[in-house]
Amino acid sequence: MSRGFSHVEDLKGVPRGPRSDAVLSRVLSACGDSILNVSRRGTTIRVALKAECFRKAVESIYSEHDLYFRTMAASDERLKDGVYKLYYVLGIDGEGTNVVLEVPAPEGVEISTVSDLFRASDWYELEAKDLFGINFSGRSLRRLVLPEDWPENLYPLRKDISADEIKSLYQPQMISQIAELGVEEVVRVPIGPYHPALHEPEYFELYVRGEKVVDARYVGFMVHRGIEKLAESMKYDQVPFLAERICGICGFVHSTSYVQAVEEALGIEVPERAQFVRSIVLEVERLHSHLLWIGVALHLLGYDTGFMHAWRIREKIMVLAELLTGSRKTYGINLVGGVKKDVNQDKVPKVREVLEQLKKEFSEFVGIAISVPQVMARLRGTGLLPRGEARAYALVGPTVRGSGLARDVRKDYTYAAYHYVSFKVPVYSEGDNLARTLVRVDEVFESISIIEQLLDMLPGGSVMAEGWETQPMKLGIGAVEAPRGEVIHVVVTGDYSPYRWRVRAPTYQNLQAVPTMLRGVDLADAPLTIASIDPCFSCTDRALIINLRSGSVKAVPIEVISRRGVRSG
Amino acid sequence: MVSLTSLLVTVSFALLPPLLDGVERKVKAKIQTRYGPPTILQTWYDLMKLWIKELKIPTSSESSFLLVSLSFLTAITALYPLAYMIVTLHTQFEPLLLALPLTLVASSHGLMLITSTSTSNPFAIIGSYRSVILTLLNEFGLISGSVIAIYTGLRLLTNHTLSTTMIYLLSLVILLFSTYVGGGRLPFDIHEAEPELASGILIELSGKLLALYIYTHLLIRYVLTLLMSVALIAPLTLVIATPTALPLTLLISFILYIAYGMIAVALGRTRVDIGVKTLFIYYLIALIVLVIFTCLSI
Repeated sequence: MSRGFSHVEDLKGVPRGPRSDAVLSRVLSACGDSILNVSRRGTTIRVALKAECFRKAVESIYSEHDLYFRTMAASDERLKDGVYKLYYVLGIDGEGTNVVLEVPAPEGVEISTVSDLFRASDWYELEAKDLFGINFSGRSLRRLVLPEDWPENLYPLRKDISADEIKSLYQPQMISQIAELGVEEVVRVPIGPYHPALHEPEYFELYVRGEKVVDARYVGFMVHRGIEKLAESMKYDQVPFLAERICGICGFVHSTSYVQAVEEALGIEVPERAQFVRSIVLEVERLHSHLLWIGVALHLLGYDTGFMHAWRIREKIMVLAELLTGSRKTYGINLVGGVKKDVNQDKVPKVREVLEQLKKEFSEFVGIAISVPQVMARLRGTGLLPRGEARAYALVGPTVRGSGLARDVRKDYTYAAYHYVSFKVPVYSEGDNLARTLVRVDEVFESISIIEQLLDMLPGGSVMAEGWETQPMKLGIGAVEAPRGEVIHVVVTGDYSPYRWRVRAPTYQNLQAVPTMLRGVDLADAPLTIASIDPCFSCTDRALIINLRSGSVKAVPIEVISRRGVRSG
Repeated sequence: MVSLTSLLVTVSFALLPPLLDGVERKVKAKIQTRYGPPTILQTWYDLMKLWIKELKIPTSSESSFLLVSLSFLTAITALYPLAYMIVTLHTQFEPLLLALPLTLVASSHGLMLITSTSTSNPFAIIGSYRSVILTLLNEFGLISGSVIAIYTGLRLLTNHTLSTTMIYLLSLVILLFSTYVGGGRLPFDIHEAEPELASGILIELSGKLLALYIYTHLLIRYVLTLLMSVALIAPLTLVIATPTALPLTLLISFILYIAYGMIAVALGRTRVDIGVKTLFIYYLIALIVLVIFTCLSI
């Protein structure tokens, strides 16, 4: 296997499948002496290669049918190695292995883009440029994460700049912009423009002809909170509490991903019972998240009765979460090495009772809701996302499963206690809003079954690892199948805190396909189509409609709309 | 005397819609397993609260207050001919009494749409266009349904052939459908469509203007419900006198108003293309069947 490369670690005896062998061998053949190092830890093969060979390596493997671009983490490692590094995490679905291409990027050296090969890597490259100043050749670069008025040459995730320095160097220009617009009274409200379709910050420009959407553009990252930077100053066990606050709905998936990444990097053995507890809570979270989504989707379709009943049923799950963890939301039980709250055996019968009730009520409810004529008419055939596009964008979760791809981290890269249970991965091939809805409906039943199985098999023992030591500059990957799709965290360990923590939420991956889904839909179906990926931004929302006939396609602030409207805008 | 009675009835009718809306909200809440408003007077309280807010005129729409006020007056005026018709139905029937509320309701709609388009807000404009398309189509059902139902209904006691009965029943169905659609309830509230249009034609209205709009909207709903009620009691008018006809109409209108609300609870929102297409097909089929029965009766 090493083909004469002395720096390639002998991988004999390490269990891995034929697919990772094939991928590795193609990379090694393509790069030859440009390979710096190859190592393996757990299910991850890490290939360090010179920047000049990176594109060649990707060209040799990108067309592999089961290779999936999971995430990319940029890291400022100048203090240690004198270079920035890019970690491209490529998953091999079905085999559960990762190939991590580690690309050193010396200051001033441009890295060849691979966004034309892995379409999903587009945003990752832009983000690496925004936050680290890493340049990519062969593509156009624009601001993605940082606001337009961010100072040039100020890269917030570099190690040589602190959060306080960033605060002193950047002041948002919003106030002066509003003043220029001639608004008489400026009131500081930290939410900004919003739109009732989604309750978080995002910005869609929908280009419409009549009521038909002909194209769409997305601009996001309006409230980039810099939590990755914040985590660099926190201790390992403080970060799970921060991670859980990434999402207001499914925060537990983030804390689990983070602790799994650290546990993998440091080789920490997590007790089995803790794995079971994590899995149970993750499924409880999926249940309430899916019911929340189904309710919101029905509201967007004007069927508010369905919305009310979905949330009424969801309430039982919130109470269940409180019973198990002490909190309805933001459970705060994950720690590196296990969980700090056990499932008390006395609670198990109550949990079973609630699940039984839930199964019955949800089954009745969903049968009625889906058969409402307007609901069915507007779900079927709208927001189409073909399987090929879903694969090209490396989409995740119910979004990809609604387009015929059975991608599910619980099966593909199994973690926690999922390998102990039997469950189906619902897949629909139609690629429309109905398919994505039905995936979630089926998943509710699967989650109930998973929790029941886990409760049946709940092992005894401790829920916390005995103790663990930190080791710097170890790479760990933690992935969880969140309700919206795969959440993946990449951690490069430091002495006391994560040296680099890269969070990739499923929406990051799925959002890039939304413009494709929006093309050709009616304006009325646009909110549902956007919502069909179950997007998770973080605060308010904004949609702007620009009529192509007017020729006006620029971004117009809400103040202008409210004062002048579309005619003069 | 008849005019004075009709005026008093009109005033009573005008006060009813917010109350009926309060009842509808309570019923809806019950169906949706929530508490809903604390009292059936809540819509009245909402209107009063909005009315005491400052007057904010939408930018670039200086005439909006005038237009909304005119729309309100037009809607309230539409109640008078209906009240007059109910009071005098057992003695006479003036075709003008039927034409007037239909024209006034259409005018009220029109004035409201002018208000929305004049605000220049893209959401309001899209909502207005949706409303125009739907209203134009629905007017056909409203006019044909009400005229045929009331005419045949009034003659049903003296001419109760099968085809006349069928024409009456069919026109009732058309009228039922058109009064429901005209009330802007789900699935036909696409001109507001909060999720995609941020409330569409309502988006620029607040305070007093919004109060007037909501009141007008509720009045129109009630006018249409009354029209349906009149069509329903039309066959009985020769055998019942005004003192009975009036409370009967009121009772039927109350039941209908709440029934419309309950239907809306069970439905989602349509899309403009689907809604218009569905409505067109329904009216076309009804018209064809109506023509067949009319030919048969001749």
